[in-house]
Amino acid sequence: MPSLISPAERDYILKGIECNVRADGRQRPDYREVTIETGVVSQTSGSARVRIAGGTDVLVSVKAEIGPVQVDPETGDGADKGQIVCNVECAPSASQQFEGRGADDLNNELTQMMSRFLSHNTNTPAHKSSSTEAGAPAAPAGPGGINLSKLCIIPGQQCWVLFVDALVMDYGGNLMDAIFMGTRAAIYDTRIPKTEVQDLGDGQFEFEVLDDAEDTDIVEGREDMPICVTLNKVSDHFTILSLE
Amino acid sequence: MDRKRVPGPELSVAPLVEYPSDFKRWTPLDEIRHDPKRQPEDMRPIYLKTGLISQANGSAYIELEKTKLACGVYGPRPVKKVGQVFSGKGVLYCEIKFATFSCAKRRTNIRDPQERELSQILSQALSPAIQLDKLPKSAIDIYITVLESDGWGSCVAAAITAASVALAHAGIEMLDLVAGCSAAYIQTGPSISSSKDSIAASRPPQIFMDADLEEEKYEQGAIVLAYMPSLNEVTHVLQSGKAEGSIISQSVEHCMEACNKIYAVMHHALLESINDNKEAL
Repeated sequence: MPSLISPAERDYILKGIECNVRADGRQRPDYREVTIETGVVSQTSGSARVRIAGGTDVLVSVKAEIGPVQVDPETGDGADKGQIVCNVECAPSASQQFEGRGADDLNNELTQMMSRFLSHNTNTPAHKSSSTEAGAPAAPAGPGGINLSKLCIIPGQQCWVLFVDALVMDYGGNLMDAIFMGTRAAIYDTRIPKTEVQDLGDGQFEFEVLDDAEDTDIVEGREDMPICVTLNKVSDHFTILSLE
Repeated sequence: MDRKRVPGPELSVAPLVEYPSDFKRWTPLDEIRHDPKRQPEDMRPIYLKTGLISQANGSAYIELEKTKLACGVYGPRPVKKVGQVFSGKGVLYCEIKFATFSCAKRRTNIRDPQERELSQILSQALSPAIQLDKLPKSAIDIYITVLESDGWGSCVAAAITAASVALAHAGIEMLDLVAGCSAAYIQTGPSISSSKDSIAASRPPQIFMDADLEEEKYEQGAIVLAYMPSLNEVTHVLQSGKAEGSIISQSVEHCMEACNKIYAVMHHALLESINDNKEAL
């Protein structure tokens, strides 16, 4: 964040980077120490807290709820897919400038970025319409890695909706990296209750959510989820996460 | 939905459209583009004109077949918003608005999150080109209205191109014009349907430059690049979906080449605006 630094201080940082040393003893390509904790919030289906030494602190929670499927009226796509809804929020306590509506733009930018990665709706291979006659293989997972078809309970009716909420509690650079790590960790931590679908005949279905905490599903495709590394270009060198 | 303005029924159904019997929806299996005249590396023809909005300091209108948008630039004006702190640098404020009728689905009058994000992308892509440190205590406003959208990527790219032309038309000092270009990665050919998994996966996707809406529905990923041709510097890369690293760097190259072509169009439009001014005098 644009904290005020004197020209001398600025020069010190720039010269340091040129010599491949930084104020905290790291070299240019070194990462700060990252701490990840999972299962931190008991009310969620999965949660993780990521801390990057030097400030950044992000809490990501995943909540699984049941909702109606969303079908694209034009292509008929999405009838057998679950959904992922993302939201990023910067706590006003994280930085002075997040006060009031100050964080709105950043929140929106990060939320949009996250939903692009996790549930890019236009990107899921839409060959299905043509595949019915040609017998194509099942559509691979979306760009975020998560297999959305596995989140569907009754095709065309009900599915799991994963609400991925990230709360930025402290801001010290590399926010995106922390959010991505946190999301991956939280999805890894997520357990979805098993469901049992009953066919009542003539297109009628009923399902029951099994209430067994021991016997739950994982989120399929979680090992394919992306992570992110931010590089900053300082004069002619690339640096992994400069402080502030 | 905005109930004050649209007193429509709560539930609506899309009208049934009867297609002629020989109608066939385009799919990438055809191995040609949606517009059969275009090669994968071809862009749509661009129409670019400045000075359509008389009230604005600078304006531009761009048309890539069915992607149409208008851009107006106001400023530099003094910052007088309450609560804004002093800044030695100028502020660039961008706003993209999709007209309610611009997309297949009706857009609302209220600014939605996507529009807000696009506005941020636009200001990130343009601010490296503008010498904002020469404009302390002032602000520049860029307003873009999308009249017709034919693909998300091409809309963003066209917005970047039009905005930088409008900025130049407004006489704002810039380091270079910023050209925007989009591309989509699409898996083409019959291999998708015939093979079980291996061949389809190993076949690299095709890079379709300046994909339109129909092609975008089949994309695996897309890229939008903002590039300053004469400085040879990239100001913004927006990549979504997934693709191999080699495909991405290849499409960046393609986009840079296309940007050079767009640059010529931008140049031409600006020269024309000077000639128009001369005639008016």
